[in-house]
Amino acid sequence: MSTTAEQSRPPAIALEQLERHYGDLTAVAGIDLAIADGEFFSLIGPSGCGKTTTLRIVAGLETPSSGRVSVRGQDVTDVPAFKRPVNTVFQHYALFPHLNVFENVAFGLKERKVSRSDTRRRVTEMLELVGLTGREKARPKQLSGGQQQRVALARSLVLEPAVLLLDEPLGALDLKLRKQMQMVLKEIQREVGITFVYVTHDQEEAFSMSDRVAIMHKGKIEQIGDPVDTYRRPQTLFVADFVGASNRFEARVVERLGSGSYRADMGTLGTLDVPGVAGLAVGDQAVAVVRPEAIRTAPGFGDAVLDGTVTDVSFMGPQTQYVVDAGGLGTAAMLSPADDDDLLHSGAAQQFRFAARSAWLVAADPGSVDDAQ
Amino acid sequence: MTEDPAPRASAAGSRRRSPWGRGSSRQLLALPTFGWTLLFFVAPLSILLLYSFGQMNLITFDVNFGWTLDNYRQLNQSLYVHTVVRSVLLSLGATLGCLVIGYPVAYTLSKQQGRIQTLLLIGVMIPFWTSFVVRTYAWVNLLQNGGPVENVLHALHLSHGSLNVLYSPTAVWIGILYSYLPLMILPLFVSLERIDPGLTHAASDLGASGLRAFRRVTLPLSMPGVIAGCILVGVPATGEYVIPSILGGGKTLMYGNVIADQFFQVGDYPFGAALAMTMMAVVTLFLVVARSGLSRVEDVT
Amino acid sequence: MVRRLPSMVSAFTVLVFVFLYLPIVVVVINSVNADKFLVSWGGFTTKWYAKALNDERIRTDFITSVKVAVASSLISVAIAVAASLWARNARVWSRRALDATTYMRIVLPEVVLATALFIFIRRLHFQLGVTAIVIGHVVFNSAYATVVIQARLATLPISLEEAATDLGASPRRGFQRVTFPLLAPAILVAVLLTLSFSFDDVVSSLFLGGTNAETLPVLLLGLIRISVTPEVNAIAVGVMLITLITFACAAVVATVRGSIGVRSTPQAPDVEE
Repeated sequence: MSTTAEQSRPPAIALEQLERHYGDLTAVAGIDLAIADGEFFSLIGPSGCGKTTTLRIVAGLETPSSGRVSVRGQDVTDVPAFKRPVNTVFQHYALFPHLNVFENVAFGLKERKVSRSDTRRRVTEMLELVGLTGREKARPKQLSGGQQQRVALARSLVLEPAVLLLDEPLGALDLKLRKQMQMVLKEIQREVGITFVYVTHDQEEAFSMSDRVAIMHKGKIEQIGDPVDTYRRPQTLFVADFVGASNRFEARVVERLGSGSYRADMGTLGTLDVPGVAGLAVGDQAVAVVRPEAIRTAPGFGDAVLDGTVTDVSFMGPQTQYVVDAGGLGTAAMLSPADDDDLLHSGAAQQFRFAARSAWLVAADPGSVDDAQ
Repeated sequence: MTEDPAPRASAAGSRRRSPWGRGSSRQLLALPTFGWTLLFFVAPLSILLLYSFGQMNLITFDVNFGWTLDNYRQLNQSLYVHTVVRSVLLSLGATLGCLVIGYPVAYTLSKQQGRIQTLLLIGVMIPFWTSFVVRTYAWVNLLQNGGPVENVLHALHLSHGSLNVLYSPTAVWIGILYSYLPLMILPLFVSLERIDPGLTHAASDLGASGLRAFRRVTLPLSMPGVIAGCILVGVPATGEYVIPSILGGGKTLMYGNVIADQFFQVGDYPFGAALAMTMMAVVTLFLVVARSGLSRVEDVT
Repeated sequence: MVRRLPSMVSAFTVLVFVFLYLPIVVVVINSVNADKFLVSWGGFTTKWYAKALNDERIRTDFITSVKVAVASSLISVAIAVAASLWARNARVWSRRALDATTYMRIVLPEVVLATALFIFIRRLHFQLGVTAIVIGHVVFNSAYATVVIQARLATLPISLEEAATDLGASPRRGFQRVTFPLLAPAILVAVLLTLSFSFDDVVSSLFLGGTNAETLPVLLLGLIRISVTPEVNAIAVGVMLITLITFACAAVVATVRGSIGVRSTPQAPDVEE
């Protein structure tokens, strides 16, 4: 998460106390954030969480109600969008329909009065980078969705911005193309070394590409961290739910074991030693989050056992998902690799197991986490 | 943090705006349209309203603004009542005629495809694109005694002797019907075209015969087009001036001609103003009724 | 039953097309009919055209018509473009105000508008004439132009202008390089449409021209009311051709725009070449 560069150089983007209100509606409710130079950073959250508004404020397309935006240490809050050293890749590409690919990519260079020969060289290089050499004369309408996406990318990157902002850039593509473009984006980012700020509602997409992600909820950032940490150690129930499926089991803290570990009373599952967020107190009502892939049927596996009946089986190729009715514990989901000895059938009664250390305790009500961090 | 009052006022979650802000210089863009409307639309209509309550001395041509209702009382005279009734009837009759003739045409057009449909649509619109005066005048040629229409009717043994239609209400009705027909066909076509053919198929599958499917599905779904067409034809037809001038031959006068006469021949501006205001009221009434009908059928569909 | 009805309906449609075109055909035929009384075919002639072309009054009125049409069209479209651009960024109630005034200007019977303007101009002791006619035409033409241009603007996503800004174009440059080129076809359609509306107008031109200015349709109306003379047919065909050609241009622009996507007004030449 931290690099030496972060200390010596100002962050590519710094947001301080950023807020945006529309009448009574609050889109952004006070955000503080620093994004390091060269980072691939993602803002994720459900629709309406304020991620796109935040991105647009950074681009200068939206004015904050209060707060400051700096780019590379310079306050740009009052700088109009067309003078900011950031560029945006729009959700629906926003390619100029009356210009061909070359003219689209050259658009910004012309505003900067770059010479004809330089323009030609830079545009050609950029089209090569995104793999569109030979399509210079094509109109946006004649291109496929993925190609349009690449033109939009080239059009912004050719200006060598301090930060590239991407607003759900893959939202309009089908799944296969999406996966492909994720690789392309990651590769290009590594090659050009420009800071990417990526907005998406797709947690998997963000995780697969980003150095760090911020999860937004109701105009606030709930958690910032690298994908692994965010997935394994969500700080709130909202984050736990948003970053992938999770099973929830009620738990009550009976003892603090120090260094983020607790002894918890989990009803019929017994009393288990479970890691969790800092700051839970003895007697707190908490939730133990267990990822579906942490549940197994192998005898002797783990230390928590629940009896249940399989109610639904979905074979998905590399893995199989089971829905389990666990009686008083509610329903649970289990994800197991396809090479798992034999598939369970719907209606099968079985013991399901997980290791207590693979569970993670978060406060049941977000308000009960004190500011211990 | 500091309070920034500027961006607050907009409606919550309103649509995005263009990035070029709403600076005061941008507001200048609204000046020409609202200025022109205020100066040459609102102001003249206000003066017209004022005049309609005034009185003109027919010797000195001075207007007294006496807040009298005399001008409106004069409308009670049978001449004007007849004219208003005749105009409304002719306009309604022509609207109905356009609807009856236009609907099958629009229906046929909506069943065509691609290039043929485009060509037919253009074919409907071309007469509308030709000069209005000329279009109407053409009927003088056709309807005059000894003209083509009479000849055809004689040949078919549908009538004998002189036609005697020109310069009559019938001629005016034909003229309005002819001139405004494309304005009826177009909205009808648009609404019929929009109906998913699957719906009528579904209705047939469910056992409705062709006619029943049409009555139960197609007709109700095309109601917005019917009402839009009636507005497009009925409103201008009520205020029609050119067609009765040419085909009415000074005998069958419509409302618009009576107003014009007050200004050009009689010179009684206040009374002419009262006539004009009354026409505005009639048309407004028509629009209110039609639009409420429109919102009702649009709720259903 | 199901099959027979449509064929009856199609036959009816054919009849309606005959109805639509018959009068126009008759005017065209009569314009080259040598028979002075137009009751029967008297052989082909172009003398009515020659007569019309040599008439001083017709020539003057034609020029007046063109002047009025060009002036009112240009003013109307300029007003409409400004208003539409403004409405794109305006608040909801301001947009509604514009829509309401536009709608009112279109539906108000022209006789009412023309009388109102007539009284207004007389009251203020302005002169009736070309300027007055132009003022009147702009009232409704700017409304039609606004409808056309707003319809086009509505199809242009705001993100295009945002992209221009984002890529470093100032508001003025963004308008020049993105909004205007994309709007150009609609502007052209609006120009042609208003040109022909103005050229075809009778009521406003009649009321507001006074004794100082007479347009071609007004002259035509006067001639028709007196008597049907053969050269009226010739003028009629001339007027018809002019409106038809303008409208045809508008239609071509509209379809070309629709079929090959938007081609801009002269853009910077391809840097590639």
